[in-house]
Amino acid sequence: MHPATLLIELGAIILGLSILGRVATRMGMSPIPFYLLGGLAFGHGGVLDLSQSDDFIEIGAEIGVVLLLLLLGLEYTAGELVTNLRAAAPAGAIDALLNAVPGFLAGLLLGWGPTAALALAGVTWISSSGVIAKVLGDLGHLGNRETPVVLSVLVIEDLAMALYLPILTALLAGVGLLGGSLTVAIALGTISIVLFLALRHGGRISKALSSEEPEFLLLGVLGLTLLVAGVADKLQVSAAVGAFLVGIAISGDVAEHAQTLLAPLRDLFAAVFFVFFGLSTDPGALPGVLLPAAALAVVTALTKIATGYWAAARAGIAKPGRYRAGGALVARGEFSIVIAGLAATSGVEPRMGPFAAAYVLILVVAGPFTARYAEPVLRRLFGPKPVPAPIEEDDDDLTPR
Amino acid sequence: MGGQVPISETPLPGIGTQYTLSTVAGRAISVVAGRDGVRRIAFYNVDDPDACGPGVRLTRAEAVALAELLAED
Repeated sequence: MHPATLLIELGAIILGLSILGRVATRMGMSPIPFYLLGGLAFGHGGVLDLSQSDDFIEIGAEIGVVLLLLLLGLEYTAGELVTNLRAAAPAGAIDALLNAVPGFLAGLLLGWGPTAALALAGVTWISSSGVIAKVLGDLGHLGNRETPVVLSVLVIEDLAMALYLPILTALLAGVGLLGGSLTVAIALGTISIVLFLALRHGGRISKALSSEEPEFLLLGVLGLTLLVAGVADKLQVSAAVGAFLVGIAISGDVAEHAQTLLAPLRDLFAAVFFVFFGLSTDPGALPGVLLPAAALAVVTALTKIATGYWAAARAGIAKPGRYRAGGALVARGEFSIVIAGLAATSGVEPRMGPFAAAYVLILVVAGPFTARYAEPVLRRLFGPKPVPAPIEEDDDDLTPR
Repeated sequence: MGGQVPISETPLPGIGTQYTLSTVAGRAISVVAGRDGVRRIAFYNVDDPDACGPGVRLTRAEAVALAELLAED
């Protein structure tokens, strides 16, 4: 490999990504679809062939997944997760039922094997917490009463991933039912131990990692995460889950500090990951899967809206808020790609990559729109009719309710 | 002071905490306390009891200043 060519190719890719990211932000969109399209354009069969930087991008993509999940774990404390699990478990179950099942059935209908169908179930199941959190903030919905409901569904999904990914990894590796259940047992055990340790001794783990020098905190957290992710991968619990658990175990000031330090690194490697997924997907296969992917996107957008509606209704939210909760949940993104990436690299189904790419491209773009317009549109269709804004010159005269 | 005022507190995982204060006159005020120290304050709509607009972002200093203004006798 020529170092000069490698640097030139990498530089061109990253510079290209920065331009794509700027365009996305200018249009008020998530950069994820742009990174994917960038990867598709530069990949095998795309307009340009970059082959020198393949190795680096492949390893970078692996690190990108690990960092995505680590930072996700850092956002939550173990206490939050346990409280949330108790409160939102029914919503999580409905979410899985309504959104994973259509993916699974679609996989079978397309003539894929059960393992590939299970991977597609994950793709359609998990909403994009990154896109949704950003959209809720942008729309000014953070203060709304349905927002905690939306977030709790996302948290349950993230926790469910910690179970789902090991199962999928094991099945993709071709272990039988017995091996699969062993992996699930290991995964369940590991998750319980980590949650227990984090609840009881989270302070101590964080303290051991904390340092006055940001440099050492960065190296410590990154090193520990990669180590645990690697061991988790060896145990077939999946590297991503290992990283997520490390993120949960670290809490308090250390977690917050680590988040600020690692966020730029995550941004870089996550972008590399999306490009890698695009690169390893043959753009020539896209048109063939576009129609079924679009149909599945429509179905699973509607089932997500139903999920949000149901979850919000259960929390005592009125109809307009239920519509908003449903619309907010539609976006799929980074985790769908993580799941599809696992399945695509295992070679279980050649159409997995293009299909998931098309599906996510549609819903990552549509998600912010459904978050914005689901409520006004559904209100017009099913009521309640919007009340003309009252003239609010003298609010205090409203009689107490 | 404050004991009689109904304030509900809901965690927003990954973001912070959402507080809702209900007034005697039947309105409700939303305060979102972000982990980053930013506060967002907004008023719930009259016709849609679960929604409040984007409201106003306050830095820590602004939030303290506002609280002092409101608490002054």
